[in-house]
Amino acid sequence: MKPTAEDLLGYLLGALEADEHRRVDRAVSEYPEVQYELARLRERLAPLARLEEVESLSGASGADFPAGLARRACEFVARESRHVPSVAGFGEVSTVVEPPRGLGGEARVAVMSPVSGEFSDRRSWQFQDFIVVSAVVMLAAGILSPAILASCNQMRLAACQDNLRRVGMALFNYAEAHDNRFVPIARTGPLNVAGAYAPVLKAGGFIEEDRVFYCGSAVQNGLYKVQETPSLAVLEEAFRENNQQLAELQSQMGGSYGYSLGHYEQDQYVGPMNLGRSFRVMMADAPSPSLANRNSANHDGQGLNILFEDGSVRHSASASIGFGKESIFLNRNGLVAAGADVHDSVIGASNVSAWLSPHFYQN
Amino acid sequence: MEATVVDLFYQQGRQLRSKEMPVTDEQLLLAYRQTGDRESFAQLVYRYERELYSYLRRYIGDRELAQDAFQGTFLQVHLKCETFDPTRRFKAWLYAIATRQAVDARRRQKPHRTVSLDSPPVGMDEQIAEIMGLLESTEPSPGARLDEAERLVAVRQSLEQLPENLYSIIQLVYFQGMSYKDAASVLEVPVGTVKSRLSLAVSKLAEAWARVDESGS
Repeated sequence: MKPTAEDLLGYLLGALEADEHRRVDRAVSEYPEVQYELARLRERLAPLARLEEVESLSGASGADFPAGLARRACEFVARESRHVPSVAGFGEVSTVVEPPRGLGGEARVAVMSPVSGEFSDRRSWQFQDFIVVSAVVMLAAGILSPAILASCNQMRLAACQDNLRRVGMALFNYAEAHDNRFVPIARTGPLNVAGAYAPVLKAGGFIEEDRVFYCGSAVQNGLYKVQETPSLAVLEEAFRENNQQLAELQSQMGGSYGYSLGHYEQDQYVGPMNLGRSFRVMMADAPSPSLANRNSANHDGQGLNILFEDGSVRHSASASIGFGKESIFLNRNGLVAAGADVHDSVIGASNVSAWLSPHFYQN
Repeated sequence: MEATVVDLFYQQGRQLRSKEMPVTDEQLLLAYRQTGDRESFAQLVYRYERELYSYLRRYIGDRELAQDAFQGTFLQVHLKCETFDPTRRFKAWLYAIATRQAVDARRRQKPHRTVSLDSPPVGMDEQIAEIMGLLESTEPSPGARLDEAERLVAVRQSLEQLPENLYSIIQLVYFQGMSYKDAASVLEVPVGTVKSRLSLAVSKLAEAWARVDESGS
């Protein structure tokens, strides 16, 4: 059976299914009139082909691709979904609390009854009033103390997030001046550990205060003590002398945060770099080898704060995040080492090297 | 020689998980729907970033509006992911949403694109200048460049003036290279309808171009 004009059009544009394509292919080789019809169709489409060819020289075909479009789309969805949540993913970040609406859509406002004339006329408190007030105060204290505690935790969590944001900003500024690459982890020398980011940022004037490298909760819990970030000269000297001091400096210099160990790509190590990906982890509260899943102890085991490559900081209940719930403190092969590929984010504590080194160990 | 992590993978005969377990679009969307995992959602956005933007850019013909439509598309993916039918391909569902966004964008833009039969369309000179600039490297003669640019602008405008149902078929099948079956799935019409609409669109374009050629000669 000879193919129809629609089949021939589909054949020319590669729009047919495999079996249809084979059938038209046979017909084209068998019938000269089909070949003629095909040539006629090709001629009809020539202006469109020419337009496509010329437009491909410009941006109309997408060559003028706007940088960071996916990241902005994710941010847009996160922003918009605060108002119209669908699944938990973006809806859960909701910070906008709309007042409940009445049937007519108007905000419900509680209307207080006027104080009775009898009560307002009384000039002085009686004994029963003191009893009632004391009971109310005690009840309120009982109810509010966990809330006050929770509020303090929230404040400490927010302060920690603020620190991570500041370090993130410093890293972005550093990357801007270094071809989109964040502070690298050197292969050898005193800066061959994750904590290298802190002395480099401080030496470059990207961060001035040492306390920014420390989570307030971790300091308050006694896990860390705010120390002066060592200068590059001090680190070099310790490295030359190859003494115990270098190991101490390396374990302290990254503060209470962990830093990206980079990843491997076709057998080549790639240091941390800025591609603005909202799902790639850049820093986080440092891991604790004593907790399950190497979760961070900075917030009493109550989750951790994570800085993502797009600059956002989010709290997570666990170090296992994302599709497949992989730990951010181990690579895909369960190792404390650089990521196995570009999608594998791994965060190392201050003294952890991205390379296989004396610091390397298997969990 | 110092061993690398990759050496270790090979020593242990391990394969990277990403190589042995590719995650499909549908799996990512379902994971997002079930757990609200943002990374799954972000992966989908990144996977389709260039392809979908390119589609919207060409469909709408405006860079800014295409970006808006791209964001709008993924907002709809988020809002409507509960309605996604797992037996359907995610790509078709995504393009269906994107096409609706593009149609809306073109509709909003329409007053600015109105073409009068008596006067040249708004922005025609700019379009001719733009195409002449593109032809500079391939066509040395300014006169020939102008003729070619005018002709191509006319081609572009005849395309833009197609009814929406024919225009979308051209965009999906001709420019995006979709099969009849995939285009039918995107537009939620039978395959036969896609075939006949494409054929009609090509005939209409051929007629329009023939008129341009007549008026030019």
